[in-house]
Amino acid sequence: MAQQAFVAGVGMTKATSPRKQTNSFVELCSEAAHGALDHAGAEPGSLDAVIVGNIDGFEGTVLAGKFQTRQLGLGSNLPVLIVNTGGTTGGNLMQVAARMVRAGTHGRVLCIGGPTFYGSRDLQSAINTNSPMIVEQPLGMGGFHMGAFAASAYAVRHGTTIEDYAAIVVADHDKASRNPYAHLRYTMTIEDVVASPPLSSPLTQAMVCPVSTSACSMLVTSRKNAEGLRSSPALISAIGTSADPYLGGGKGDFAVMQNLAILARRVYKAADIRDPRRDFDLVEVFAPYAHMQPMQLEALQLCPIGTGIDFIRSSESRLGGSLPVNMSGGPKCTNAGVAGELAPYVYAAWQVMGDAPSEFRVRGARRALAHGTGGTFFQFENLAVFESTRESR
Amino acid sequence: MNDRPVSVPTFAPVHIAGIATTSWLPEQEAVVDELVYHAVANALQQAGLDRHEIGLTVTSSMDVIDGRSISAGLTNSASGGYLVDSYRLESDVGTAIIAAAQAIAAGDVEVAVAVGAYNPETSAAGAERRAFLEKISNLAFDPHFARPVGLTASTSYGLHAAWALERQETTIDRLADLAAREINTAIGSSRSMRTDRVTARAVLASSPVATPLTELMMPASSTGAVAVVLASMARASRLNARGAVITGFGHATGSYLESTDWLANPGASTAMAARSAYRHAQIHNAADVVDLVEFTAPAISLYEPLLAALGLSDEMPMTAVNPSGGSAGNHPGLANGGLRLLEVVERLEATDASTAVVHSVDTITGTAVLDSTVLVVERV
Repeated sequence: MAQQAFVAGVGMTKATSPRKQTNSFVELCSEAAHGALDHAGAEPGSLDAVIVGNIDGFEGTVLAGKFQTRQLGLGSNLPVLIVNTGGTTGGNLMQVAARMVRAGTHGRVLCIGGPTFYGSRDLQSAINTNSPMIVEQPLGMGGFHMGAFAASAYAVRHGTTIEDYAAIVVADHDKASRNPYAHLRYTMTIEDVVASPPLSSPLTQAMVCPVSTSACSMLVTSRKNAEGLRSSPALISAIGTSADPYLGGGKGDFAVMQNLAILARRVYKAADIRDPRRDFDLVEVFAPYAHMQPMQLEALQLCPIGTGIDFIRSSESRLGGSLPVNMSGGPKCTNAGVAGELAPYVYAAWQVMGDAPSEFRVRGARRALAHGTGGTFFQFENLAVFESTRESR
Repeated sequence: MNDRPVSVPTFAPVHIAGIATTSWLPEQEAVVDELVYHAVANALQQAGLDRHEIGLTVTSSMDVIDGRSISAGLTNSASGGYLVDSYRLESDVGTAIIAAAQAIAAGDVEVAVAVGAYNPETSAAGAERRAFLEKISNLAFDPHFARPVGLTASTSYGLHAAWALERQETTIDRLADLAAREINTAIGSSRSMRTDRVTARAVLASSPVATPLTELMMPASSTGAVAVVLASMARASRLNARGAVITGFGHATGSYLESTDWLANPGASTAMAARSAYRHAQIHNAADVVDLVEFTAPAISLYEPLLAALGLSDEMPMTAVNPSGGSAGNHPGLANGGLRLLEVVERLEATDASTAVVHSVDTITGTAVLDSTVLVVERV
């Protein structure tokens, strides 16, 4: 029978660059998976499915999801589902797991986000292969080139300066400096960000996410299967994904995230969110490039159009503010592929479970929003709303 | 035919509202998103649905076969996934059908589309094409141990077949007879990629693939796409829905090389998937209640192990076991699970059969980490 789904455990490894990483893919995933199980107090033998992500072309090998999952030793013949939707793969792991539980056919499903970028030598070339092959591929377009379209359009629309975009980076680094799981934990000034090497105008290197390696994991359960566990599970009160067309021209307006705005209305309706600015206690958005964060916050109705950067600059979006945003530092400071995409979901659930690391814990958080995006010209979006169940336990 | 009442499953059954395919060809002229669009549009039209009523699309494809990273970006809108819930799974479409059914059973959507697309991005033909696909298969094994020794889907099938012969679990003549029977059954179907009757002797004389397996002991490969439109029972009551519902499903993934299942017990994941499917459909003894089965033997040496893993046997009437000829007639790669379902739905609608089983496996890593899906489908 249909039932609710909960997050009963999360696990995460510390991040670093692929060059400095000393653990293998399997070791990182194993640490994260067992971290989630330990957090919940669940045994591997109690799982009835595993959901993993593969983004072939971005990884050190291909089609690895199945055999690498088996190497974790989580159980023979356990169903393994492999999701691949590019940058939304990580968030979609939980969307798939939640549906399996909500259908009543599964009780405990483990999502594992691996360190996708552990072997890629030229990630932008890999990303280029998913772009349209008539114009964009021959031009050598990669991820941040696609991102720069929106950065330019938003700047033209709102008169945004490079210093404005730099202020977002400064805020993210300040937050990441308190997150022991983040990759780039140093702080930056606006001058540092502006002076970093230009990548694709108006984006400088500091405005673009790093290539990180880490892993994270999440245990999704039914209410019945959460009983007796040691954690206070987070209810997954609403989930959803939405997709733009493949070609960038299908977006309609690069200065506005229309697809995300449409998805937000659908997900908020499902979660009975009527005033998102007040109804959420924290937000974790997947913004690998600086300009994306204010645009996402605006599309999510968390601030008026054109004011996203002001909101990020303000103390309201910091720890102790009325709506903390990306307390983890976000993907701008840690982006480990599928692990980086699952991370907003992990952090948001972790916060409402009351167990997020004390350095960036939002005390008393009851409801959180998690977001993911990816694909060609960031055509895919996903969202989830988590709610605390601590009151009822 | 049995008189068992339609089961009361542990999840809400979902109705098969529409199911359609592209033509099946050795190689398509169209690109993969065109195939997806064609199949989905026809399946929606069959159900009398507009794409705006889709709540979720789940696509089954693989980047490494589609020849580009994140190929879901290309195919998503063609699947009907524009501005709605959608995602892509990298396995046989059987997994996508299950995921779509779960979304409906969860109460999240009323209409969901599962689509499987298979059109390897290569213009090579014949042996060169087979070598290309074997190379992809080899890449799906770990790079340190299995890949260097040349493990592929075909070599795993060959090793299993040799093991079964060595253990006297079957004979080469039995395998040849089975292959000839399947092919000769298939040639009566318009969907068959094989059109000529064969003898067991011809099977044995065909080109070697992986000793002791020969060309005619392997599936008849094709390319194309299949789309399955599923709807809640309530929504289906106002549609031109097909005459079948899914009352049970199961999915399991076999072990890798850390155990000997890939060699000695390749039916392990199918058996586990079948147990789940039968439990949902409240089937206690499949052999007693199943009237029809379309199952997938990716090599003829797996025919008997996988049929047994489903709790069924070759003692069922010939018209009840792979009446289409199964994958010996047509095996469209990742779209296979949808084609097997279509064969079942058509027969449930046209005959007295009331309870059917649909089984599919992925073929990317052969008997290792074998991904198995089982659907219980009942006539309504």
